[in-house]
Amino acid sequence: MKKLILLSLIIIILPIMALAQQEYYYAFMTTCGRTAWVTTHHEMSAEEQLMYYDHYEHLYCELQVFDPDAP
Amino acid sequence: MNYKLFFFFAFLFLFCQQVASQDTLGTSTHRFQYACKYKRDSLKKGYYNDLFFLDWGDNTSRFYSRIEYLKDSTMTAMLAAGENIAVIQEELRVYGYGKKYVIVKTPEEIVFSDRLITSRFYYKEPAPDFQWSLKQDTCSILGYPCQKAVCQYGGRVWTAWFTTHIPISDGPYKFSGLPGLILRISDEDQFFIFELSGMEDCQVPLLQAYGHNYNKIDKKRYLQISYRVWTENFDPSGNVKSFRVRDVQGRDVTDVNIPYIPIELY
Repeated sequence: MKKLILLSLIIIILPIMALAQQEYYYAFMTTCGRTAWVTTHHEMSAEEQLMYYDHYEHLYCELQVFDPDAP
Repeated sequence: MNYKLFFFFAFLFLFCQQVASQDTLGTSTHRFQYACKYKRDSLKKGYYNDLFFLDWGDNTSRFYSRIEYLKDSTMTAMLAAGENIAVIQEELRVYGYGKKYVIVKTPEEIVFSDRLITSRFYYKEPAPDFQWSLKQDTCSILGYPCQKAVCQYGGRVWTAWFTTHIPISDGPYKFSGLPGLILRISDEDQFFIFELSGMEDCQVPLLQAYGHNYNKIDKKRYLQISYRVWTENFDPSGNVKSFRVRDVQGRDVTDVNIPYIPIELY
């Protein structure tokens, strides 16, 4: 009986542990040449990937229009 | 042609879905458009640009980025159409960057929501008493005679120009409480400048600033998280296991300081 419980636990726990160990790698290449390398625990949806890209593009690249009269 | 029709109906469907998923507070009667210039680095010349809508009706208003609104609608429609991420990315890049925050003002309170990368937050605060100090200075903006008013808010001194010719006590960002619409407002350092660039009669639903997938947070905590997101590459979602940034030469620039100027200091 004990062996059966142990075996059941292993069958249940192992896939969970394997899932927890799983890593997903993403590279967000911005237009100014900086690349953000991100490792996540879960697979990102297309929407999430676009949100990350939008964020890094703004964060690292100079998308500003220069105003010559600016102080 | 069929492709365009598909996009139109996808757009319409998603818009209706968005309306259904967020509380509607009423219907607007006016739309004011504000050009926004802001800095992220006090040492650098030049500004980042954004464009905001202030939809107003029945003492309630909604302030949000037009750029972000268009980007979000385009992204949702293209994703629903099964477009490739790279194609969507190229399409969205044309719009530039729009601030993600939305501000809903009622006479009693302000509801502020924001998306920090993928995490959505909102907080509520009582309608502030700006304690405006009215000045005698006047100017003309878009043909409207304006009067100067000064207040202190969020750790900055703000100068507003309002007109009584538009008897709506509202304005860009969280500002309101003057005897007319604020047509221009800027802080004393000129880090943030909002100026009216257009207006029209417009009937659209005034949606609440947040939906079911937003997390409630207090303002102090939001300001802390927001600061870390913009300066330390912090991701509030907790999904990121490791993170590095490399420049075009392949050098690690993860810990290089990123300049950021918050609109509110506290």
